[in-house]
Amino acid sequence: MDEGKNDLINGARMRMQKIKLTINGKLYELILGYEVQPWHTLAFTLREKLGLTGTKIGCDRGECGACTVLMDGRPILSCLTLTVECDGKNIETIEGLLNSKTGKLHPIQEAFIESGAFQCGFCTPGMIMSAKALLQRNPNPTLEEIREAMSGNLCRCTGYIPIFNAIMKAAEKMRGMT
Amino acid sequence: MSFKIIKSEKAEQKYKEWKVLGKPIPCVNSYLKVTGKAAFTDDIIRPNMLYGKILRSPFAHAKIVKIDASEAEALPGVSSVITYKDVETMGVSQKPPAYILTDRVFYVGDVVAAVAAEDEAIAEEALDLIKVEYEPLPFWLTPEEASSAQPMHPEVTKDNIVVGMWPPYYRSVGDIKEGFKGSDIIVDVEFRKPNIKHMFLENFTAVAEWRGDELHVWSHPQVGAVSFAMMLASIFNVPTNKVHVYQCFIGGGFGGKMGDAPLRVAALAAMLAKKSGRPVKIRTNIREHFVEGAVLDPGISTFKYKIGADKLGNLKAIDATVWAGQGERSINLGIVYCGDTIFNTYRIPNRSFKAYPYYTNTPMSQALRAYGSQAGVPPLEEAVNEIAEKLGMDPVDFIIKNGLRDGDIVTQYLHNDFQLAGGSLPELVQKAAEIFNWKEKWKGWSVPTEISGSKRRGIGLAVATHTAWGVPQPDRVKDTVIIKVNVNDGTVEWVTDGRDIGSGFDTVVSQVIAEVLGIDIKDIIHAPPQSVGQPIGGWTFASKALQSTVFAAYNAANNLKRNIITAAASILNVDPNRLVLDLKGTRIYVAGDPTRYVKLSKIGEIYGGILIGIGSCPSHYEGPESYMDPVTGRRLGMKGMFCSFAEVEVDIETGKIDVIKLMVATQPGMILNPLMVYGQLIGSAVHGMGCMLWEGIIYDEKTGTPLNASFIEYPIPTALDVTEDQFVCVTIVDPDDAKLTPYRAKGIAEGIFAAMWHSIHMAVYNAIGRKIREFPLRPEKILRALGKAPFPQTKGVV
Amino acid sequence: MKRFEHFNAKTIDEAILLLEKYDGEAKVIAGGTDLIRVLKDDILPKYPKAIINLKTIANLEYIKEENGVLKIGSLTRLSDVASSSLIKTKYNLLSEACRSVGTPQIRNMGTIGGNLCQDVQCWYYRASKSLGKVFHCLRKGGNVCYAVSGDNRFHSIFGGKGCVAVCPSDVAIALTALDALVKTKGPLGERVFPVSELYKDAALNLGRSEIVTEIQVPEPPPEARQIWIKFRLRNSLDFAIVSVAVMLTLEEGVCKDVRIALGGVAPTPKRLKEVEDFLKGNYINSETAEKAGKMAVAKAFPLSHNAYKIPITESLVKRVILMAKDHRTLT
Repeated sequence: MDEGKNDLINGARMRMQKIKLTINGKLYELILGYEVQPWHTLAFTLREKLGLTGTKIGCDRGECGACTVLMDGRPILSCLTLTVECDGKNIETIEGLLNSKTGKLHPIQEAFIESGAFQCGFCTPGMIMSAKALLQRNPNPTLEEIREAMSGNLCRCTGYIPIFNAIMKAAEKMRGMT
Repeated sequence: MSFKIIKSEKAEQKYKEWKVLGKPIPCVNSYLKVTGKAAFTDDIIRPNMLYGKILRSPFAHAKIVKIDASEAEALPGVSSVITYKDVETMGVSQKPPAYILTDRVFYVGDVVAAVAAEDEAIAEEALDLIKVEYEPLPFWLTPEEASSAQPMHPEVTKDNIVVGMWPPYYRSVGDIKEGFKGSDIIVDVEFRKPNIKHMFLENFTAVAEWRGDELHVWSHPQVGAVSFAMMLASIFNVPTNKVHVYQCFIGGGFGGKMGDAPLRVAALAAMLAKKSGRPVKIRTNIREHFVEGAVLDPGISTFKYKIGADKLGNLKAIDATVWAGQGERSINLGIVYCGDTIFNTYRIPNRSFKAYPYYTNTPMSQALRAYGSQAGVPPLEEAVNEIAEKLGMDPVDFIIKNGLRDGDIVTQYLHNDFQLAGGSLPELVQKAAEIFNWKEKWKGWSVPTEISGSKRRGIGLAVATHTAWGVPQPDRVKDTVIIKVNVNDGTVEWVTDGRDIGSGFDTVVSQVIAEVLGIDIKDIIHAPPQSVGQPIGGWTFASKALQSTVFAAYNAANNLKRNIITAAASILNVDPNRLVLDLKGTRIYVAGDPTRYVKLSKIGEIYGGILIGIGSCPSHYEGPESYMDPVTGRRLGMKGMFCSFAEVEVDIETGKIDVIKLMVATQPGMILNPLMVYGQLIGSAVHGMGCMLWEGIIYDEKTGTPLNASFIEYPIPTALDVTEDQFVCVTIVDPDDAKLTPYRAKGIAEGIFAAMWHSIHMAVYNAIGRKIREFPLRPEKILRALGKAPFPQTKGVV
Repeated sequence: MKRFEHFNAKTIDEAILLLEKYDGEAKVIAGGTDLIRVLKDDILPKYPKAIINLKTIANLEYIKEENGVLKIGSLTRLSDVASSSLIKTKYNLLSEACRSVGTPQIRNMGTIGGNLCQDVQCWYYRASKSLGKVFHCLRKGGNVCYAVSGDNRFHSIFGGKGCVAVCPSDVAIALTALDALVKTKGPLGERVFPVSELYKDAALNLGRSEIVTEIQVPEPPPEARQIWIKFRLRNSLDFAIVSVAVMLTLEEGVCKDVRIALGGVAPTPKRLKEVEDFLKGNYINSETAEKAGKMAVAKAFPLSHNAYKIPITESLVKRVILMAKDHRTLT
């Protein structure tokens, strides 16, 4: 594990390499070998290095979906993603959902509250990110499409049905806004 | 909407009187939870914090002969390593059979050592460098093996019978010999259950930091912060007031965070923090959660139930025995509730329940969405079903004839019996059967309701009763709530040392306070629970919040209101009954004459600048006279009444079961918050469906290793496994069903879980005509029962 | 997860060079949905010294048709394969198989090449260090397969040379029925071979520094009917207990051509050649379908816990053939 031992290989590695991430519209530059290590996952970097603890680490094995964030608009598992491989990527996390001007909740967040779509709340940030990606690409989803889109986010409290209701309601709210 | 609320006239009237209660008010900490700002334990990041990792045992039972951590300690980036050898030098006191670290390991995954390092990766590498020499000991997973094994904890017991807080070994009522003599039909049923797991999403996590001799711990215990601090104080031999426990949000518990795992992880973090002189965080992953976390009490069990009835279908006697593998420790309360189902589901004059809870080489057993009723119901219902089938009786009629009802005597394990005040299984089942359209669908025992190709449909039902107002503990934890009013703006804060685990406990308590004080729920907050400076008692378990915490809050709010009004009355010199408390307007005024008022700040001055109300919950054994029935003179008590109806479709070629319909029904008394009640009912129903169809720990019998330690191989339901039209939740709402609580409400979440399992089980039997006396009902079990695949030779762990 | 060096490869050749240099102690990463789990659970006999990222290689993410052959770059993500309208229209079997993998997030990350090259799911092999117990099995250089004498409910019913784990890739099963080819590149250059030859004895049949670069699928006749069934407990997240892929061409009710592949039952994708020969030239009806189901499992020899897979396989093969005949899809 000697640092720099392999620097010569085709210039694949350079000292002071920076990982540039756009997170919720803000650019972060993290120095490799200092703020980010090759083995750090995106979930770890977001939470422990950048303080964006809204993204949760559940199983830490890509099974439960609690760590879901959007990368270039698609839901991905931040616990299975290496930060070094995110250079130049656009990341959205739960922290980016509040309206930055008004501080108001996103319609999906409102709908989750109104529908009782969470209990313990641990899966909720990941759920909401999956729901956001769905409604972005499909503003008028059927129940089937909602179930499919949420099938990578486990919840042990709610039995999912209040979550489906919330997403239906959120879709309605968002359609009303445009 | 799959939530039906059927209200009596009395209920309608009560709802009209309420301003805040009865309304679908969203969870009070909603904003925090949907924005990711709710601080769970893992969200705590302390300056200069280290990361801890745990080395776990490869043996189900072994003695550590030699342990050498020197290489691990020498790895650059490692701050400290702890093994059992540190226990003595650090003055950590432990009591068998609950160790933090010792020279023995009791199950695969038991803690051997822990490392704190600058980076998680370094800590993991260090684990590889710890050299451990084990002397493997014989291990056992089943109660059958335990009964003839060497004692696991010879310090406390010689026969492997668990020394629990509740010794449940034997209880009887009447004379079973006479009962069976008077029976025309007697059946014997043997039933088995595997270990099942909570599978909440937040794994055990703790952050610990020493500030001089003060220990600061962030954790997620389901016990209250004060109780947790007391436990840590005794482990580290420090004064309790020097242990600051910050009870963070809890990412799912279902009983699994009451056990020792959260405490142990916190203690390990605290030991590492002490040795390193820096804060330490330990976050475990799903694999560690799986091996370390509790399983349902009773654990791997065999039930043998003998039951007798006369020709008319009146139950006469039951002789029930349970052999349970309880893990390396247990408090046995699940077994108690398992026995409770024998005594308090049907009217059976002669009853006997024997339990043999054994130490086994698995983690401890604990509540899982309920204490043991959910495990006790299926074998009881299997036995009762067989009687009904032999008599050719419709199961609905059978329950109507034999079910527990209002006025019956409820027999409890360790405490006095009481007379049931409200709630009735026959009435509940009759109403629910109508909604389910049972009579039209029922075609008889073991007769499919529909056949289409390889698909067979069947229907089933089950009933359960469960504690609905807390554990009967006259001498133990009592809830206390303190309410504070800010005199400048009339806003309200309340504290107890408990944390909502998602069931809506803090929301409903806030509603109660708002109702009494006449304010908007937005003007109330539940102060984050922490051990120092807060009262004890807000444990969130055993369906007790609705009784104990609500009662405490009700008393606290009324005490507060009375104090304010009394003081105001003396200032204004009017009859206190004429005064109106207007907290929002920060004043107290005379009804009908708002110009005559006194400011809240004035009252504050009288009480030394602060307005607080304290209330606690009376134990129902020490309760007021209203707890006595005036006619019979008997002490009154409550039970939750639950039933579940299921329709399933079984593919007899593949063994796959689809739940077509699952209808759960209960008599909750009044519903204080329909959003929360619906959430609990539907959540329990889906969780229970998973338990019945798929879940269960699969062990490698040769090594005692749990093999399916993942969300992939321990299959909890996903979003694609449920649809809204599958589930119906029914509540029959009447204040008379819950006479003994201030707002006529009782706990519902746990009992519904107990009832629903067997409804699926019975439906599968009626669909395929084969009795499968175990669960989960995975395809392999169905195909084996149908004779399409051979049974494997196993010790019967699953 | 323990430490490692990390390289972003710019070209396939660079990745191969790095693999060669690390001489078996480096791993390539694409979507990472399997590899990161493997690393976190620390199950490899030797933890890799280096991880080589392939996602930085240009031009390996594409879906195109050339001269009647569908070509998919190995870095193409499963969700893109599943949602491609070209693939949905002409190669629906592949689309459905991709859609049945894991969860939406896993499909957004996981690549088609990675799905083919994932490690087996055997729970003895996968027992994590986090559990305490690690099984030093045949795959790790040990001399015992713990599944054979343990709980093997998810293992092979068609034997195996030593290891009895089943091929975990859904995509491989679908591609086998589609008669697809795999293109790879290694130190010795490129080669193209049938997807069925990618596996041998529950392992990848690739050179140590060989990387899958492309999948090639011949265009099925337009009248061919394609069906995918994945039997599992839950409708998401689960691996297949049994899966069946079929491609059937009928002419006036008579089977003109058919290819059937089974997953979840053998260490490699299992092509049912005998069943295919029987069906060809026969009328497809419930009788022939039933016979096909029986033939499919005639040579099965189950382990102690997995005989239940036999009736499931038998039934699914029958159903798949009838569904293909009736143009039904799974509901």
